[in-house]
Amino acid sequence: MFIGIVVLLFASIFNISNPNRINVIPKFHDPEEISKVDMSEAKEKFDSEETIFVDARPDNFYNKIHIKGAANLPLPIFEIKYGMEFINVDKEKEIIVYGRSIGAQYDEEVARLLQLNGHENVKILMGDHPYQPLRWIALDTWKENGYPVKIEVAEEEGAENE
Amino acid sequence: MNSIISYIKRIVTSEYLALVLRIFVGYFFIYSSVSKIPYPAQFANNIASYRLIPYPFVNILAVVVPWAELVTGLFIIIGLRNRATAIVIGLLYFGFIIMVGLNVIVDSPISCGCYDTVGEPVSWLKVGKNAIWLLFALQIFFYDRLFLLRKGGRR
Repeated sequence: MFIGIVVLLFASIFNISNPNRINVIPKFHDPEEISKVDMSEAKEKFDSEETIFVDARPDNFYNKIHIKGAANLPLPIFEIKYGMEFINVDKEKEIIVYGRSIGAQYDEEVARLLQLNGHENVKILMGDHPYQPLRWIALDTWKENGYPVKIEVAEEEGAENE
Repeated sequence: MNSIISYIKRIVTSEYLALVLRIFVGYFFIYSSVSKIPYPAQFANNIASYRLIPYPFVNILAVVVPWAELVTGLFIIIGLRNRATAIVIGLLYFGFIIMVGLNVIVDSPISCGCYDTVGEPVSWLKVGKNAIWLLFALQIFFYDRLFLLRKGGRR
């Protein structure tokens, strides 16, 4: 009890005065703010090859598995990678962002940054069942549906299953 | 044979061993906290990468856990509320074991984030080390009685 009080007291006082402080309660973005796209629609767009897919997760997760052809735009190095790979992309081109886990909403953050950089047609890929916490992780649903993924650096390619 | 067992028993239950472990565990707790306290956002990323803590709780843990490490590290060294502190340290290690263990099982490509925001990848070795340190915390809980500022709990 005593230890708990001391810890909470110091943690909260320090976090308030810390120039690198974070919000203790994370921001919850308005779900309507960035439009969502469901699996079947995303697959159609994937097949048409007119849409850019962006994996917003850190590169270690991206290297392990990602949607085939997706570009990696992790938050910590967003500016650098954006400058290298996205600076010449047509601002009206559709971009579908995915990459969320139980602990982080990388997709929301990266989609927002893309919008701030002037991209007008940014959407977030959603899993099939938003009410089941694990199923709204879009990549899992994508993989379960047998859609094309790229696995590890060994460059095995998931079978396309339509 | 019996004498060897009783000798080992005497070492394991020794209050001098408890004192050494107190300084050892306390030092590492303080050491691991100082790199995390100034940069809670990086530590929050680390916690999120474990994919076990739900999004609303990640930030609060990133702020509180490093301070819990620092405070318990200091308390255990100076012997303030030593038994309660040993329980908190044990619980923290228990949590670390579960989080690292589950990620090793599913072969997660993440780094531990134990002493720094970047670091060694999660592995069974890490789980084993944490398990040993959990035993250290138990030893301190049961046998620590030297140079205490104030005893925590009843005996």
